[in-house]
Amino acid sequence: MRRPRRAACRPGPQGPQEYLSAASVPRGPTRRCLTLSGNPDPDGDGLAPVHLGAEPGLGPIAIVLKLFVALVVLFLAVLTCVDVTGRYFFNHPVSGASELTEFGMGLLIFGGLPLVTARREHVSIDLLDIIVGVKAKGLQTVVMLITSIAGLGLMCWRLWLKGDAMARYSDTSIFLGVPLAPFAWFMSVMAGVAVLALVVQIVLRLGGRNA
Amino acid sequence: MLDTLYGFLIVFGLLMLGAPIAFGMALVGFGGFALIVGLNPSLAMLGQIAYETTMSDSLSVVPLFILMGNLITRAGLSRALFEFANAFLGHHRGGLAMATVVACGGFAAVSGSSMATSATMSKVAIPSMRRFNYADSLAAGSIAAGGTLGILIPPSVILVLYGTLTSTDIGTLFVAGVLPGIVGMLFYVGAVQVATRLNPEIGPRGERTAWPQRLTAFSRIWGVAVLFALVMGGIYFGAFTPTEAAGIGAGGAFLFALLRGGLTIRKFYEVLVETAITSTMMFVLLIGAILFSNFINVAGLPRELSAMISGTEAPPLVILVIILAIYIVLGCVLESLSMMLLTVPIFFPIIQQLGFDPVWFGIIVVIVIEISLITPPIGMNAFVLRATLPDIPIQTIFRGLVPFILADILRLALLVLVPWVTLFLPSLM
Amino acid sequence: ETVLRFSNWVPMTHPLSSDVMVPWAKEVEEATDGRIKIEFVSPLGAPPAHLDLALNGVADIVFIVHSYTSDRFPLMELGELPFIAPDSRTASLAFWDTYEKYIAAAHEHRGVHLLGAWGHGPAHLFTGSKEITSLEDLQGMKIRVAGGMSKNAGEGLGVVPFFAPSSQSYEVISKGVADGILFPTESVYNFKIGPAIKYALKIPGGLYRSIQGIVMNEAVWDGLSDEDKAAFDSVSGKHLAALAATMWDTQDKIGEEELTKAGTKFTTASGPLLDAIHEKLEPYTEAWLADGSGKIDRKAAYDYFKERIAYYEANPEAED
Ligand code: NA
Ligand code: NA
Repeated sequence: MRRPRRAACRPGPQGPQEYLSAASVPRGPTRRCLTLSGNPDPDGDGLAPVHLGAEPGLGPIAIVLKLFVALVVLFLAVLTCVDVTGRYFFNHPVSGASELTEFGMGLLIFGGLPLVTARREHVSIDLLDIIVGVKAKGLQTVVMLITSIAGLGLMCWRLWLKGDAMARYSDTSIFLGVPLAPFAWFMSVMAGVAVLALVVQIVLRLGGRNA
Repeated sequence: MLDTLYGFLIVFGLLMLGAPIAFGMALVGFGGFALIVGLNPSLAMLGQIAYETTMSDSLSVVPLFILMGNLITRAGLSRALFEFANAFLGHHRGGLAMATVVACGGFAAVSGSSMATSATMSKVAIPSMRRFNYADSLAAGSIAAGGTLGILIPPSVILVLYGTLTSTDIGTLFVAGVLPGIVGMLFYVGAVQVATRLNPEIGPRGERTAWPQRLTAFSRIWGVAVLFALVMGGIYFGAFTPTEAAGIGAGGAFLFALLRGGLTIRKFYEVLVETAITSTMMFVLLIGAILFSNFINVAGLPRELSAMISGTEAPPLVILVIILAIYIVLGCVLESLSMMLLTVPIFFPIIQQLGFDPVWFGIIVVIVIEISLITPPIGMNAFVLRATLPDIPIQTIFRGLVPFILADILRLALLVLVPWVTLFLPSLM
Repeated sequence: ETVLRFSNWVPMTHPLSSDVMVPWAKEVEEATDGRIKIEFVSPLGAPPAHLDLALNGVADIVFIVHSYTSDRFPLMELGELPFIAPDSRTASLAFWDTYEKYIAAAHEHRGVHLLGAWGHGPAHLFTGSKEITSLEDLQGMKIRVAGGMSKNAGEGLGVVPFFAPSSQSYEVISKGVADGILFPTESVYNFKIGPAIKYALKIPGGLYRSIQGIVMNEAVWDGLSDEDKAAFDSVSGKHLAALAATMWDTQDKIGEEELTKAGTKFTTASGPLLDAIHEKLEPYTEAWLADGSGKIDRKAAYDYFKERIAYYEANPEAED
């Protein structure tokens, strides 16, 4: 995981306006900041509160996405509990529970993709920091942005075509007969939103520097 | 073979230059596959893997176990666990450090992550140890090391991913992790004892707790025991599959957090969002790793290595020791999850060919990953402590970890030489 | 020398790999005088994705189970219909004849070249602790089913269908998460579910059978020389179907022997029970015949299939 540093440990961003200036684009982890280093920990559980607001490059879309992924996680947990208790106590499992779980997983993981990307929380190693120090930071950010945009862009493109192919074959899920193409399209759109978030961050940052 | 080596070098280079691990592996896997098989197939594979890796029923254990751990963490359970262990062990020499390790073990039984275990435990254990003038090295070392138990004592996200990559039954892997986890906890307690015997100032005795207080402390943690029994018992006795166990565990953790009080709607919402974000991080990594392993697969490295090993006369144990040595060296510089995702596709076929048990090897891999979490220069659990306690220099933390690393190596040797410790419980399933 | 990559999701120790795919690959190599070599690689995707892997050229050759993507193979479903044939060989040879004469014209395998297709042995009903003597016994029982006709059979019989991938079937049955399973005898034995199964109810002709096959990327096939294509044909098609069917029949036989030894009670359904099962499942055959979405005469194909089954039943050694 990204090495948490004291300097990188800062409270989560408070809103999109924070990112309008170059200096405030966050580099380190925000969520992983672990108290004691200056972060508020009102609950006393050793963890900083999760930031629920807008994110850099996503703005208020982030608020909607957070609500969405939270509901999907809740759905997965409730579905599994209902399925098991239904099977044991009422001899009536949720029909097609495993397929509903699959759909939920697709929505959850890709729904979270723009969030993780905008927060720059994709796991990375900061070994270069240790060897050459802070000077490498700029290079690291450039490599991070290029590889992220390339990887996410490829996913966006190919998942769209995957959806097209499944629509062409009218592929449906084996048990419930739900059309599968829309899930691939959803994933593609989310990967695209993740790329956009990075691009917007870059534009804002360059804009800030020029101004 | 050379293709794979270049691939590895490029991945390493990209990671060192700051590429996210997932995209470093994904791009090199994609590029390498394109060179060997063709651009269009490689593009199609990329879409296919991204789609099918996420749309997975059995992998729903990952978010569900993360949810369970997050709920438990937010319920403030770490403090109760520490107070309980401290009530029994605190008055011994180094007792608070031993209590820390035991509390970490208890926390590991409901959390699937090592870093989370260390992070949450540091908050409660450090103030007590400072009050009793413990050396920073021992205090930080016991938390960083104890935290590694998070991925061995089930539930464990690492074991789920190992099971997925190798088609090994996840329930069996979980059950197999229990005894080695307890052994690990005992070895860490032993490490504290030896360290404090050699140097008594680093861990003075704490207060003795009277029995009534001990019972009170116990009454606060029974929920963990119930939850662990429910999840692991359910898997062990076949009441439900690991996926279902994870759902039940999350449901149980929710009730537990609710009963303990303090679980507001806002806090619950935070837990759900945090669970989603952590799950996404894991799955993007997994997608990258599968793309990279498909490249390794068509490049033929596992087959060539297997052929090479068939050609040598070396006994299987020697080859195993070489593999483990490679793991420990890699573990110094690689992050835990990516280390497993990168190496298992290469070494697992060899292990199978040599006739070793896949479940046993899974546990061995997790133990070398545990070691990687606390060895310099990249030791994630040490870094967690560094972030939590900025006034302790990283060298002090690593110094404090030396006894625990030695204990880990001893445990590794024990588990390699006595597979029974790992395989006994699964054999009863 | 051309090396063709075979992405295989069946474990190399499974008889389907060791007794069918590997020997067939060797036959190909010999028939082409070593010009073509088939190299097995670990699976490059999930089992249901393998058709697409071959389609997109990610792999050159793959093994597929048609019901994993049943939407794409409405006509191949003919081979999965219930009460069709006593064993794998009869069904498989007759099915390949029918495929060549009727189904191939519908081009269901667009983008890939079908080298051979067959069905496993008849699927029966296996239960953990309750013997089935009437359909009423099945009410409320949780039975693991797969997709395609297996799912239909479960629904038709009125069980509580429990859907889990075959890789998890051991887990769900042995631990009692499900009360029983629809499977060919061989699978109960090879997935090591036996210890959890006390009763086997054999259904003459089977409740269903999975149609499976080996396909090659179409562009790769088109790129082969005529000589190599002919060499492939000489060891594929009905020959490959027979190779696979013989393996399934052998495994079914071993499975029944071993399971019986270990204490599973085998009974063949008959009388009112069998009549009731027929009554519940015949509608699926009628539904297949009535479905007009295909481009072929389904009734003629079905009749020809039955006719060929009768032929191979009467001539167990025949390969024509
Ligand atoms: Na754990
Ligand atoms: Na390390």
